[in-house]
Amino acid sequence: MIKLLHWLFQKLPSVLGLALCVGFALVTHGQQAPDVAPHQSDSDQSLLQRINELEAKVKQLQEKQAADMPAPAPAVEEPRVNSVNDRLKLNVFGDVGFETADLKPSANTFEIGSLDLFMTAHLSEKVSALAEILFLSSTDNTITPDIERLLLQYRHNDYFTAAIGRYHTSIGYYNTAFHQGSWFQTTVDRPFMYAFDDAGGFLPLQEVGLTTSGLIPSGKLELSYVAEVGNGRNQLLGGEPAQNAQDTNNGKSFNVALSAHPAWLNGVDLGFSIYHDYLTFSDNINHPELISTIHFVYLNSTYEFLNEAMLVRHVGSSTGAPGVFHTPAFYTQFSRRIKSYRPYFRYEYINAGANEPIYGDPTDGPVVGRRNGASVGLRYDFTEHTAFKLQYDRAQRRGVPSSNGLDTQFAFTF
Amino acid sequence: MTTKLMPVMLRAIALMILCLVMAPLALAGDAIVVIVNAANPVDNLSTAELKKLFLSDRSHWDTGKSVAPVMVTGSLERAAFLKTVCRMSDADFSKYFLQAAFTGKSATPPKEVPSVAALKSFIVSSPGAIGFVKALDFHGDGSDGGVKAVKIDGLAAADPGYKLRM
Repeated sequence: MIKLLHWLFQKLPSVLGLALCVGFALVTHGQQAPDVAPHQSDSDQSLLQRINELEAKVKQLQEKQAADMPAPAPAVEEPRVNSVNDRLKLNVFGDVGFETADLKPSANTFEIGSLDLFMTAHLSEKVSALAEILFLSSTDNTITPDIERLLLQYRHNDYFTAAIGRYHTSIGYYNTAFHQGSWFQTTVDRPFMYAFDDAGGFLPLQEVGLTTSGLIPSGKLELSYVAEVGNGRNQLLGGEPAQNAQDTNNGKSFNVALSAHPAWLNGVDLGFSIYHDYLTFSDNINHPELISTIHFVYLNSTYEFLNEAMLVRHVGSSTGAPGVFHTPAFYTQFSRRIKSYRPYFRYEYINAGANEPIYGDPTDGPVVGRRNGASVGLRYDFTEHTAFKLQYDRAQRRGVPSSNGLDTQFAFTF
Repeated sequence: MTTKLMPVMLRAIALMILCLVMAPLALAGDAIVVIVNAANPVDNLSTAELKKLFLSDRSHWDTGKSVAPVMVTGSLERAAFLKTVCRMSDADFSKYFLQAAFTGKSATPPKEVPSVAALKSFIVSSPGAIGFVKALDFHGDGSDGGVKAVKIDGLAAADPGYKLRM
């Protein structure tokens, strides 16, 4: 027994020393840790000597590292953040693809989606400008330029930013999160409720006016707001949606959005928006429009879970008889990134009444009607700035046979 | 027997003390130290606050100085910092700022410098600057000149439980 104890005590320091030193070497891996293999000296003096040696080696390594570093840069000027030196930044977004559908008279076709020139510039520490010029191909094969956004922005602090010009209305989440650049969005196209006017959209997604935004001191809720006043949109769908230079009435549209993205619920964004405007018909009658949205979004580098619902209220009817119409819509979209791949699924629904004064009258533009359907697809990012998307759509619409579509898209930015 | 065992026990105890002394140094070795200008009154930041500062969600310190985040291009600690604090890969980080600009946010990505020396120099010359370095690159003995370390979630780099590591 005594022999065993003796042997254990004799081996214990070696085993302990070896384990701890291996641990130490692993922890300091990559930093050229000094060799700390234990000496089997018999006196405390040798241990102290060993510590001194180690300290000397660490110091030596630190000096070597410092020597390897390039010479310190000369005193750097104030941060170039918001500096006017690098004034203009330009990003180009584009997408091209091929689509096919069994809904006649559409034909299989290659297509240019859009060419988007996006520019920003810091004019001073607090003033900046943003411009987005868009070239879009139409179904009649023409390509038309469009000033998508043009904003002069003043940022007072994190709690107040004001911008004037043409902007994307902060209705819901998707409209201001993704804009026109297809490369940003997971799917080939936007949810139908957020489709732009040239794709059959029906919401006032672009405005000319004044938009303010910022954080709200709200503790752990971490609220932010957007408040906007603008010209509103023309009552005709399918045409130029924003009243760029001439409003049809003196009344202005108002939009207020509130959202929370608390740090303790990392990736969660939830909020609502309320938009109000008067649409003036050709008979000079004002029709009130109220658009309410709510959203719940969960986003991180792996998962994307978008959920939004909307209710549009219009007064009047396409037949001229008085009435109040409510148009509900929602979509849900889920995707998960697996390395460079991101499979996704989306389901969407909208139901506009047949006699709805704006969405049901063919003289006011395309009839919105009822439509619902699912989309499944795969996004593959084969370079950091280039994505390939393949999407299958199944759509059901009131008064139209169900249809199937297959879209491919190459979306990129440079 | 006691006489025979004594030197062995002494050796074991001495080695344990040595390892206890070295352990904090070893742990600090792979830690990432967040540093600011020495004149910045901030001594402690939460991980959430740190994320906001580097993602341009917060543009000013309480003192009114503009926040100027800075990082060393392509460094190992940069990748670890993005993963731990921002929960992003390098590509996600680039995309975040591109998308932020596209959505009209006045978000400016952190300044990139080529070396730790340049990073320290930038912080020394910019009162609102904030950056991070490996623990071995921060001596904390006055030789760093004009920069100071900031605790993260109340913990210093050598403290057990410190999360910001490579």
